[in-house]
Amino acid sequence: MKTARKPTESSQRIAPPAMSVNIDPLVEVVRRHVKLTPQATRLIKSEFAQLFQNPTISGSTRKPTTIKSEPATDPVFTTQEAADLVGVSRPYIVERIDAGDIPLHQQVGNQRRVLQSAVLAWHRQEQTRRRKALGQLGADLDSEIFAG
Amino acid sequence: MVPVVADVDTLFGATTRGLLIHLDYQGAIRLHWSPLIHDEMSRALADTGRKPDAESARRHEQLMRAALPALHDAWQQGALRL
Repeated sequence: MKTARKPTESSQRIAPPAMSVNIDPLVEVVRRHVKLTPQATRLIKSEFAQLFQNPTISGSTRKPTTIKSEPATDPVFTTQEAADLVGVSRPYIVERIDAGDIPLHQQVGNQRRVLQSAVLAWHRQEQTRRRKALGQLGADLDSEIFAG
Repeated sequence: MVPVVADVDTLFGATTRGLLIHLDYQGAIRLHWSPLIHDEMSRALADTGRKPDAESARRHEQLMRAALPALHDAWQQGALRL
């Protein structure tokens, strides 16, 4: 009776898909362009066979083209979308981008694009500055209201 | 957001001034005033003794600017004229 064996690390790896390639048509393609001796034909067949058995060689040697995109959690905003997000005017957002307060993510023509995270980070900083100013202003107002 | 234009009469009273600025900070209104309104308010505060002197009134004006950075940036850009 067979007992189930604990799978080892190597047996857990996914094996490359088995490929069945007829090498003869490939050799015929080569033969159309160069004259092959029987020995050269044998060597080419042997090399093709090795090539297609190599697991690093897959059906396509081209790497898939990946388009660099931002994570779904950090969308790219236009200046108007950024302004709407934090409740300020679009020219003010543009001014803050040009001043370097909000990092410019990309320029599409003459349009600026920013990351949501950058807009929110800047907004948090500005709210902190405003809170500080409001605290000082509140103390100043108190002294004005309650002065003799 | 409701736009609110505050003139000198509105900004003269300290309680109203503070309330409007706080409402803008909370996002309930969008407060506007112009440099001319600000200048006149500072002068009136100093002249009536609400502020001890013109310098104190100017300092208060600076704090108001810091509390509403978007509004004051719009002035500098010439985007807002009242």
